[in-house]
Amino acid sequence: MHSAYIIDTTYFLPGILVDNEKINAEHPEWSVDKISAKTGIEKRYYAAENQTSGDLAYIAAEQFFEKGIIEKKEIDFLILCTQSPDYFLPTTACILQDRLGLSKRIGAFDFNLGCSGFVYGLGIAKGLISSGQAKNVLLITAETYSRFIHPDDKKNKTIFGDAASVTLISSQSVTGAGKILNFSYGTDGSGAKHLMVKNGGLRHIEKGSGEDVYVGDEFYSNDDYLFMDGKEIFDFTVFNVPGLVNDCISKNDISPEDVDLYIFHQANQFMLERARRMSKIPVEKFYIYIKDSGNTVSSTIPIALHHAMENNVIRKGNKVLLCGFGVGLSMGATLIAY
Amino acid sequence: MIDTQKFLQEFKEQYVDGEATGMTMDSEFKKFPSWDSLTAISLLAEIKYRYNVDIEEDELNGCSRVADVYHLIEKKIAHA
Repeated sequence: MHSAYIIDTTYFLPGILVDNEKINAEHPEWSVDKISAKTGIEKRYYAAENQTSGDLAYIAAEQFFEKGIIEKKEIDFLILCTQSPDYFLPTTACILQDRLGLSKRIGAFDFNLGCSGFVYGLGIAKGLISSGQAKNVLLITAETYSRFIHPDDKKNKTIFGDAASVTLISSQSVTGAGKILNFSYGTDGSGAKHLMVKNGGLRHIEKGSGEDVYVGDEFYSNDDYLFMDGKEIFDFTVFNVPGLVNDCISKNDISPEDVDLYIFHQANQFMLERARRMSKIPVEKFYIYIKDSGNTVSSTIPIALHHAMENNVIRKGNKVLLCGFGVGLSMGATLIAY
Repeated sequence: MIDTQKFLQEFKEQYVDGEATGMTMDSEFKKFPSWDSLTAISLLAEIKYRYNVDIEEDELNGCSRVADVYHLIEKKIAHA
């Protein structure tokens, strides 16, 4: 069985800056700074009107190849995690194979997951490599959730931003690479309704039929747009993540003290802090990178990983536990040995 | 019986920057500046975690003092 290594991770944020001042201007009754003190988010970036997840993925991938770590012709598998694809069909990854000029003798497909997606992507990539089906897998995460947010939905506006990330997973290690170890997964489809864009898929095809629902003066939902039941997602996270983390630790035959750094999906700082405390993780081992990019769904873990590597927070010999959780409801965790 | 001091401490920890240091059982907990829907969600999760009691947001909306929440939990435990 071949081992699989994370070789490098990079990311791209699109050009439309949405800072707290901008949200405050749109919602003068709302103290975004007060909310920001809790979410930990000051800036998010939105894709331009004509820019899709495929476009963000393309730019992120081109920037990745410019680093010269690997040549395009060496990539033998492309997987793309997105819930805002360019088309119903074909899969955005096939279009990217052509746009990026990758070999025609590669596998390429999208998979649909949100905040847990990066960890699942690592799981797929490891499976492809360890079974000998691929040697160099390009894992891309790309979302334009901004398209799903209702203009009056100030809560989700303060949290979500658009982004794409690119990670190279290979069968050959290099200096600074991280070996992908064992995984733990979890799914609870009974909570699907708590985080959902209901209309536009084939069960509720008619986009535009949603009606605005307000509770008092406050926007609550419209089935054409992203709906998130904050309490349910909070509860799912804080009551299930600690068990998933423990399971991942035991599947890797280590004890909690052996983990040098935890990188969770950067949902919002307030919920992360609660999940950290309930998982009994010391604050100095808990990495946060959310202030300047917000919750970019499947890209938050690779963005945080990129910065942790760049700032030497992760060093040779470190064990890093990655944990994603959210829409599905879905969660996954894995351990990376540097 | 839930330990009131411990309960009060857990309640205070839901607020940012120690602003609830002077909170008592008679304090009106929604009047502290950082109270908002996130604080409520976090408090309800804490209660579920500590006391295995489910309180709905509507029920919390009906409480004004810290003691009201305390009594609501005690009542729920007694009827469990």
